[in-house]
Amino acid sequence: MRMRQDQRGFVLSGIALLLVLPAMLLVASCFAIIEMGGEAAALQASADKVFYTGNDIERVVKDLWGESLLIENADITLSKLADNYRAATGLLVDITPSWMLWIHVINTGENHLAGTQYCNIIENAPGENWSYYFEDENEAFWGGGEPDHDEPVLFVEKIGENLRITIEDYDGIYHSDVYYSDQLLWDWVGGLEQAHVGENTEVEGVAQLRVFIDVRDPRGAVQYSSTVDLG
Amino acid sequence: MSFGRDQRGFIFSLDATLAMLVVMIVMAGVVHVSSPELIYGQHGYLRLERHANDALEVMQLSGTLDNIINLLVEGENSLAEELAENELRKILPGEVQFRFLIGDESNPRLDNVYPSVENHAEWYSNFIKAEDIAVATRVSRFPPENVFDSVTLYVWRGAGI
Repeated sequence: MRMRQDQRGFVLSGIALLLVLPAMLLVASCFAIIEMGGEAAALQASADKVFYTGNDIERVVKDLWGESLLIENADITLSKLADNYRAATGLLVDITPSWMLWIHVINTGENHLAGTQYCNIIENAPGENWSYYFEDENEAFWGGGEPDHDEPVLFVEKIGENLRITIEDYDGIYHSDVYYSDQLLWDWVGGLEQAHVGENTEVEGVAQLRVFIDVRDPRGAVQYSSTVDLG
Repeated sequence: MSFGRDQRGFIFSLDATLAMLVVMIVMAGVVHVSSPELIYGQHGYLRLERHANDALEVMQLSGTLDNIINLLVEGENSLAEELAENELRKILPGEVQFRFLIGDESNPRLDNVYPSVENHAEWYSNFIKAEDIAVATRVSRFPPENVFDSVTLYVWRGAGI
């Protein structure tokens, strides 16, 4: 196309075009930087919220243990606590308790855990000693009655930084293995011969209840996980 | 100035300069429109949120929150309100205003905790109108029933009353 003499305009020379291209790239980069900066700030805000919430849950859980409020119905209490945090913060909160002591009933092949209907726990002296009353019979055989919860009875004492566990009684015909977390303390306990009754052993650490805390934001971008050992 | 035949270089022509100018103006415009409001706004909110969380943390660690809860349990609501107001006023900077609430918004155990003891209606109006409000929340146990309830601190930037 030819231009007439009275027509005016700029000629975009090769050099000018080359200067415009990097400038456009810079603009695109600038947009990316702005977007990333905004995202980083939002992520930091979420991370703060999740961190403070997780930290606070740990505090409340330790307080509950200190006040002996987790001995009975720890799962219900912690579930209510998680519900409250969920409602108050809008975060996804899971608080899961797991008791360290449990038995494996050899005759039925079942595992009976503390913190369930198969074990009553009584704190005899706060922060010092506890009694665990296990039941080795399955719930289906209780026949609507109350189980006696004495197969076995474990007496747990805090001795410095360790726990001493004593088998006080086993009033049943079944045999059970007694575990502390995944550590086998005694096998073939009880029966008519009352095997191992009266024996004691010490385990390292004073943890009796382990609480798993998991807090995350609904987008899944930030997560706080921790384990609190209580004893 | 004249170039010799053996001298090399670019000629920075007038139209190239104009093109550069136009592009730089566009870039400056883009940065001006997008950046300051967004970035400084978000960082301002982040700081506000940290003010709120740190204030609650200080109240927790200093035992003030437990004292407030104990006063509420004993039915001393006005003392609890006074203690919370004084403590938060001490912790938070002067330009940061606050509203402290214990329990549900619909049925609170403690409300009307603002930077000053009086003018609650005005403070509430300021709170509603505030542009950026940061929130910090904790859950506490309330004896003797040992039920859980939320402790919420709202903070915003604004002038005092």
